[in-house]
Amino acid sequence: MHYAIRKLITLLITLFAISLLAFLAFAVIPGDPAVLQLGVHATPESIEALRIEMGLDQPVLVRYAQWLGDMLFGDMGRSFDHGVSVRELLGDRLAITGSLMTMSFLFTLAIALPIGLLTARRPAGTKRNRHRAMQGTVTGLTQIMMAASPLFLGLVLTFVFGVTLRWFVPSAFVSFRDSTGGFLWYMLFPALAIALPKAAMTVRLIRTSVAEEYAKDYILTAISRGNGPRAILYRHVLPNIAVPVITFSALTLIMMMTDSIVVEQVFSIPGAGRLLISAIRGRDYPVVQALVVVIAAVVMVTHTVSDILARAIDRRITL
Amino acid sequence: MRRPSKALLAGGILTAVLVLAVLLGRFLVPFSPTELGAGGRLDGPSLTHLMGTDHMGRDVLARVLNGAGMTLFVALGTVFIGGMAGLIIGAVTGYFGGWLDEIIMRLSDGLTAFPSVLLALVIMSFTESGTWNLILILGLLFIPSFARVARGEFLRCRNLDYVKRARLMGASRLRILFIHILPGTLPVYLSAVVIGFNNAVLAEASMSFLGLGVQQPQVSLGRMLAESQSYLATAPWVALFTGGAIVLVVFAFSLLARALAGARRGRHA
Repeated sequence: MHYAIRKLITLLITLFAISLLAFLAFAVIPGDPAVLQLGVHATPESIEALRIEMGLDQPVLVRYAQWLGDMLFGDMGRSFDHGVSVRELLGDRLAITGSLMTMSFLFTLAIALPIGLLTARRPAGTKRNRHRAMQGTVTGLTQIMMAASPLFLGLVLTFVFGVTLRWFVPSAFVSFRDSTGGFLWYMLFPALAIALPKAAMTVRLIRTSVAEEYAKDYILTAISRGNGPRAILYRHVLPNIAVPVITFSALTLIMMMTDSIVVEQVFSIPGAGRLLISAIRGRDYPVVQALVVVIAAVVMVTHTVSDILARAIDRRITL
Repeated sequence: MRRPSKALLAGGILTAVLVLAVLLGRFLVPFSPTELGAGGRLDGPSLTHLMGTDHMGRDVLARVLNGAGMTLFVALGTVFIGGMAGLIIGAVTGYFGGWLDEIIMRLSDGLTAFPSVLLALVIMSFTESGTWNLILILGLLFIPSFARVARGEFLRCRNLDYVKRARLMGASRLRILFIHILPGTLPVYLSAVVIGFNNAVLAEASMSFLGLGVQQPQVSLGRMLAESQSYLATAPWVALFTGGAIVLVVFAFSLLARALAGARRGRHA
């Protein structure tokens, strides 16, 4: 796969550039890390000692090389606030946020794909869609869901299923270390809060893509050759709308990172999102910096994977 | 003249009602949004307090209207900065092209790869949170998406016959850009601006909810949601009405955006 290899090389270069940016931003903007860590009342001698201990007396590029090397081996520095290594802080939290995003993404696809395809309009000249009653309902529901943010939906789900029906205890997060089932059950609700609005958008996208495809001339030919709606949908339309759907899903996955930060706060989930917010509030720069690098890597890898998948489906795509 | 579409009518009326309610809120509701003990603590909705009261006995309706005002103000400021700068950058890069276009577009590719709320949150670790900073940061982060739309439109209009004609008649570049081309780009640009406005509303809500946007004692819908979360079990109306207000605003503006986009399609058909 020539294309994939070139994409991977681009990915590596981009990640390198981003790491440089992330390093420089946090090396320049916040001020002297030694002062930040010791406070303004520290003696000049102790600050100087810490500067040397932290390697701040070295030139910027040397520090960058050292930092990058440490990062590659999983050493992301120490947290100012927590006094432990960033890696230790991230461990479980990244796993929790990762599961939340995976669940949300799977739910989005599981809801949007069948509903989108079932309620898509049929091409002119064929039988009307049997699911017409559902078509209207889904149109209304998606319009409302697209306006509902995960933030509000999270509060509504907590109120309905947590407070009223008591299906789960609000703010009583169950760690996957204690009980896998309990963890998955608790995460079901935040994942739905993220997934429902995204599913609504995906349904809309699938419908418009299908409608655009149906308007093309070759569909008319396919109908005149006696193909039924099912054959046209699965054999002709589906492969052609796969690329926009994949690209959109990749964007959805990336947007879910913002959603998961908010939803973690709503459901009191001790994930990477809550860590990021508390680190930003507390100016805990090593933690913010590490999370920025992780986020950037996820964004870039997602884009690359989606590009490679799209190309595997449609060979006409070029760099 | 075509009749305005149903979506445009519904979206327009809903938006107008919401904006009027926010602007006239202090005259319509007999309570001040900051008045402690306007009613009992955590009273349910009643005829005196249509949306009930919060944990400090403040009238929720007054607070929702006031908070919505702040949220709309932040969104308006964001869209103003992003929309103006995006229009100018998009106009110049789309019309003139060249290396500047190439550099700016690659840069905006890089920026738009990341969710803007996420970037705004990270930037907040370097600055003080507060309303003006929030507007400025969101406004700057919204520029690339607006610039992209404007660029596409100016690129499309660049070689239309009437523009060529204006060029041959010796019209200045500024005149061509802003007198001749700009009106033709507005239908598309406006619907992008309305969608951007919605994103700004949601961004404000998320950031203030996370405590990195609008700060006390100012009220915004996002801040109110953060406060109301602890009382979800005892006084769910505070969170539900506040969140409902956000949904309503976003719903109204998305109807409007859809109608604008639809009107465009109708004209070309």
